This record gives sequence, C-alpha cells and structure tokens, in this order.
Amino acid sequence: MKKFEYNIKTQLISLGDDDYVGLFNNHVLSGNFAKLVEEFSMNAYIKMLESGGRDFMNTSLYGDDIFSHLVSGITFVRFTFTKWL
Amino acid sequence: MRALLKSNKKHDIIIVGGGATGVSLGGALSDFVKGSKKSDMLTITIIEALPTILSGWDERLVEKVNEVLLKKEIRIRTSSAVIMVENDSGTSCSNIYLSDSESQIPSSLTVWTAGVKGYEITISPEVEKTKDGRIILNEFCQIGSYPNIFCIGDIAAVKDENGKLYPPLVQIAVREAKYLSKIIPKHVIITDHANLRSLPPNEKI
Repeated sequence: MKKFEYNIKTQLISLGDDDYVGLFNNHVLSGNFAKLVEEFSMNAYIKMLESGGRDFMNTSLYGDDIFSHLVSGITFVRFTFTKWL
Repeated sequence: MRALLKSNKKHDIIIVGGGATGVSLGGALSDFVKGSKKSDMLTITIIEALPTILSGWDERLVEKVNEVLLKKEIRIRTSSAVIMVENDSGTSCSNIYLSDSESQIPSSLTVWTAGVKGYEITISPEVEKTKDGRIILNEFCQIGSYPNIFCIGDIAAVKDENGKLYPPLVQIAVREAKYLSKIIPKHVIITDHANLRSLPPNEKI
C-alpha cells in the first residue's frame, strides 16, 4: 500500500486586523498577499463543502500531485482576477 | 474588554492555549487594545503547555508569528500548563496556577482556547495515544495492532517522513479522507484474495 504523506501547501494565520502570516507552496508570506491567500483558501474550502467534494477546481487545493498543484494555481489566479474586477 | 479598558487599574488577559485559535485571538485582542488610550494598562499573555506555540506548524512560520506577536507586545509562555484556575472572591479576578511555577498569576480575563482532543473511545486491548488523546497510527492511517481499523481527522495522529506528527488541521483531514477512499478498496481486495476472513473456532485451513 502507498503510504500516507502530505506536503502542507497552505498554512495561514490571522494575527489581527491587517497582520497575516502564512505559508503557500513552501514560501513564507506576510501582509496583503498572505491575506489574499487566506481569503482564497477559505473560499475554496466553503465551495468544496457546498459541492460535497465534487468541485474539482476548489478541491485541488487539498491534492498533493502535480496536476492538483497546477489546477490550484489556476484557481488562485482566477480568484485574484475576479477579486480585482 | 470594554469594562477593563474603562477602569484605571492594570489588567492581565490570559489566553490558555497557543494553537491557531489562541494565537489568532491574541493578535486580534492586541489590535483592539491598541486603539484605546489605556492600552499600556493591559497585558496579554499566551500560555502554551508544549515547548512552542503552533505546534506541528512549519518552523519558519512559527518564527515569523513569534516576531509579529513580540512586536504586538504579547507575552508568550511555553512549556507551561495551566493546572488550576481559581476565582478570587474579593475581586473579579482569577488566579491561575501553572505547572512550571509555584506562584500563581492574576488574570482579569481568561480565555480558554486549548483542548482540541481526539474523541474518547475505548479500544481493548488499549492502543497508544498522544497526550491530547489522538490515536497513534502507522503510515497507512491504521492502528498498528488493528490493521482493519483506520482513523482520520482529529482522532488520528500520523507521523510525517521526519517522524513529526501532522497537526490536526482541516487540510490534513481532507487529505486523509481522500487517501482512505483510494486505499480501502485496495485493502478489501487484497484481504479477499488472501482469504483472510474470520473462521469459526473449530474450522481449520
């Protein structure tokens, strides 16, 4: 059997009104970018629950393969653009 | 909080638990207090029983969080467990007794954020558990001595490749669920092929 392993892709924490610290794809983030990633991961989690795990675009954030990394990257870019517009 | 800020006394706010909730709450309270004229009358302390706050999180992230909390003048006390909270009948304060100190510390406001625990379940013979009640599993999310029992979520304590326990976070729980959805069908097929079924007491192969 294949072992369980998981490389934690996103870890974020809010430390006040405008202080966010996080880790995204192995990079430590802070400030507005960390806040954006926090909003993105919360949004993805809610959409994943609403779809019962069937929304692949948002469920990909919890995947650990190259395809999931690619899809979650695209979903993040799409989320950022939607937010700006 | 507002009542504390209105009074002219010094107050201590104690947050018990240096996990994500406690740390995040400490940061938010600090910002709330900072907006007040009497911000120097309030001190915020986070008490964590383990040697570090955000146990199980990436070390670089923990370091960065420590820096931010320090800037916000939040005190952090690690390797210190709260063993008792006693109400001071004369005042509206509490006295907090810690495992690493004989003296107690006063608290005007205590917020308890510790206590994410594994669901208490009795398995006989007993299985190995962490201090917070999570069942220690092998690398396949199985209880070592019970290969047909898999655990995921808050009750599961799985080690990563460095032997460090994965933190009880939603990302891990979702990933564990996905993992088991692939593993269990294979596990069932394997056991079927191997004819590993329970036999009546007198039946022999």
